[in-house]
Amino acid sequence: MLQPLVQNWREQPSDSFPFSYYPMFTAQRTKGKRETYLVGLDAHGARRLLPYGCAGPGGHNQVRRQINRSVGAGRADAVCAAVAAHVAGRTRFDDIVTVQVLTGTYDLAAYFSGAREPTSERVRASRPVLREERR
Amino acid sequence: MSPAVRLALVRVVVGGFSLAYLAKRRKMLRRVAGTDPRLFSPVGVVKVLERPLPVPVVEATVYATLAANVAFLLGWRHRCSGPAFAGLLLWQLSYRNSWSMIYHTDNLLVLHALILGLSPSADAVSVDALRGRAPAQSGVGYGWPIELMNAVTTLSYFVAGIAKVAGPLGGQWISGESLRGQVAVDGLRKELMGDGAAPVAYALYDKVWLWRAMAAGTMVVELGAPVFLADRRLARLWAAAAFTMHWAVLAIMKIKFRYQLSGAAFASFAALQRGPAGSRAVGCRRR
Repeated sequence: MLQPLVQNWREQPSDSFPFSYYPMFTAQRTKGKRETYLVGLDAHGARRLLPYGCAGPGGHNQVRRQINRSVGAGRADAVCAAVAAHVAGRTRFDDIVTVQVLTGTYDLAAYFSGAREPTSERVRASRPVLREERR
Repeated sequence: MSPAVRLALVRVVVGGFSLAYLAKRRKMLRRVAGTDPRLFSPVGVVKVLERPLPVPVVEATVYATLAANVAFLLGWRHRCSGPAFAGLLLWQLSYRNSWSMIYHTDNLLVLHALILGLSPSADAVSVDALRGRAPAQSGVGYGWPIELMNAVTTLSYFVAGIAKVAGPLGGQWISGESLRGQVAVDGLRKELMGDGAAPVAYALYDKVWLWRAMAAGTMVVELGAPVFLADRRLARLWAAAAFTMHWAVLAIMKIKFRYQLSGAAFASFAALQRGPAGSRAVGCRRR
């Protein structure tokens, strides 16, 4: 049970299961936070955030990490293609004509005070939704 | 000495929780197994694998785990089904956590199942006991699994507490700023990709004193956990505090530590044999 404690003092700590060093809530948070997320655009260019489930099965944090890992490895297009295929097959996304993978930076204090816009945003990948892809 | 009934009731509580938990997730476990193999990052016992297993094999192990779970819950042929269930659950949840994210909500459930599966936790309140397969209940051997479960539970919180003060902030973690930052980041992520942050997080964001109080409370519950084991009443007080902490986490972050929230994680701290179920079980044995 105590053996994982050594990870706290390693340069590159490694977590495991079921014996963990429980690194959650330990990172030093900066004021700005960069996140990668999914957006859908309708025919008029209006955007809406797409839920993590569009990118893969599993829990929110698992899929979020998988997206980060794929985008970090240069596979943003593949993520975008998977999301476009998912969106194309769901009637609740019928208004979406384009999906994008974005990376935005948010000011946490401002965000929680009501200013929800990112301080910067970058399109990592973009792809039209082809309805023929509907499953 | 703890009676066999107390240990058996803990088995029933933990086995019942895990059965409901796994049954509800059986389809999700199958879908996760079909994820892009490049995202496979094996952890724990699953490290023996170099690549993911075929989906039908994973599906078969899910159903095998469920079957073993039913046997464990019923206390049927526990000498075989107990270790089998514990091993299969360890494998199943390690595999589920081998896809780029370790869910710390599963650790205690697996550790408790291992202790209960490898101990005489089906000598009462079980099919084995009804059929006369369980050995005579002398009392010897029924206390240590409970004590071990309590120690494992408190140590997991202690390890989590050490990680906080050993992190980049050190003792400054208690200032509450870090906790507030963590909650804010989690909330932002839920807004961007999930079902939104908890409204409570917005309402509390500017109340720094409250974050400081919550950080201090967290440190008492986590770093102080092993100290509370010194006395049975203190240990129960600690379990109640940890249980409350998880409900607070749910309210503020919408993070569901289901095993803890259900109370099953703290069943070993309770004198279950004094409750109605325990009285009935003891009564049955006496008749």
